[in-house]
Amino acid sequence: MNVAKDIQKRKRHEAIFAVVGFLALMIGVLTFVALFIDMAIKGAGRLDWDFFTSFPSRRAGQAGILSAWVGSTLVMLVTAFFAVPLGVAAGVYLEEYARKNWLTDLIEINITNLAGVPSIVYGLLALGLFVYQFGFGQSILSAGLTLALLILPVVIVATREAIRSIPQSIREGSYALGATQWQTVRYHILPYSSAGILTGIIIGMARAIGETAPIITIGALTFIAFLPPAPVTAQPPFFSVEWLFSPFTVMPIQMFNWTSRPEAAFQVNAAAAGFVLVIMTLAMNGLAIWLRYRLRRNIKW
Amino acid sequence: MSAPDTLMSQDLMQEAQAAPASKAEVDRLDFYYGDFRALKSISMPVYDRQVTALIGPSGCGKSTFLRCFNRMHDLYPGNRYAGRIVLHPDNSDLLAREVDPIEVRMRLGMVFQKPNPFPKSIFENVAYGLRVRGEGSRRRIEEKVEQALEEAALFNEVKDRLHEPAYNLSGGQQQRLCIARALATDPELLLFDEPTSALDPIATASIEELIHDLKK
Repeated sequence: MNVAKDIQKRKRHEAIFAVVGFLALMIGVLTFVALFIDMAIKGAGRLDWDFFTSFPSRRAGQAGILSAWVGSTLVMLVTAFFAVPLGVAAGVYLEEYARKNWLTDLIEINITNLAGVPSIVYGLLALGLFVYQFGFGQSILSAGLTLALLILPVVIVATREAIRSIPQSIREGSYALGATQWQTVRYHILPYSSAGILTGIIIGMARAIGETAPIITIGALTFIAFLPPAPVTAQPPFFSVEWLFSPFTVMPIQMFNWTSRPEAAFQVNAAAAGFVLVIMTLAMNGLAIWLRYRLRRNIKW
Repeated sequence: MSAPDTLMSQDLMQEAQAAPASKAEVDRLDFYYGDFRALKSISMPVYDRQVTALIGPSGCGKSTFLRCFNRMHDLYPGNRYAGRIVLHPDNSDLLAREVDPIEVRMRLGMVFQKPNPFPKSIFENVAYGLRVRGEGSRRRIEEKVEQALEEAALFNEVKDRLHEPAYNLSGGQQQRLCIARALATDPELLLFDEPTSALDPIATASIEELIHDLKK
């Protein structure tokens, strides 16, 4: 009798936690879903082909996000170009080559901490270093480098974690056959960790694409009605890097610009642009999940 | 290829034979994990074309001893050898500081306690040792892979699926694949670190039989 009562009492506690936990979960999920749906409904009227192919305009009905999405894409390209090789090489070096001592421990802790530094700090650093010191100006190159710095710790940490999940027996098997350290990295470590590394890169990029503060700090324009020069030219050498030094804007800044306007019609534009940005981010995360699934399918220990 | 000599750290019977040629000589070998002296002054011969087996309770240093031969301890910081392991016929000291551990590992093959095939195809697993040596000829590699799989008594079971992932194989087949992987580069001495401890009795019997065949 007493035992049954005791069990009853303990089960009540369990039920209370289940309810509290479920509510906590719903607060998070429903808030996001509500925001997202609200944005989708508000912006739906503007989501057509013209919205993607028009420059911003003083008339809300004609304004589009062409310069913003082109700017975001180009900045992301530059970011990936610098952050991926640097981050992966640094991660591989720390995990496979560096001796484990107090210095590497210190570097490890600092890299993890760097991932938590407010992005505006990176913006200030970039303003001084890239924009003025190196003279890259308020350009796509400066923005790409800034965001590359911002996500570098994410890429390094993801690389290290992916490498750490490879069992030591694989390395020993490779070394026992007379492989050098580089051969072991090249034929085993990199291929087997590529899924985790790619996931880290994409998650870092998904964070970078929504960053506003550091981009504003280095001086991105908020209203721009032209595209950067094309990378392909008619004259030899048939390519041009001029676009790297072009002024630009990005999606979140375009949104910010529209939300700060008094006319209600621009709020609709902001909602539509926000919807596009969220879809871009979700698509990148979806790609990360798919790649991880695809690349891991053939790897078992 | 010449049949490799085998050195095992599990209880295979030692064959008594008249005056076999020496393949390697362990000479007052000490080994230290940091300050801890794990091996104390071991001296023993390893005979050519013979299976030399090491028997002992768990934790007594069989694996540590075996891993001195191909300098696996060099992979981790703080390990130190003293004494010599002389490999015949060229009488080189495997433990000498000026001898590159990579060169040592190119001459000696090793099979581990737990089968550790690479997450690649069966073919690529066996070809790996040749690839790290820079063997470029596709035909040479194909020949060698087939030969090694034959010697490891695995070829007939896998000849139709050489390009399938190695992890589809059973545990015993995986271990024979690891033996083929070691054989493909013509090792002068094969080191087995309890190669059957992770296998069932039937797979164990086939590996033990294989080791006896490899002796010749």
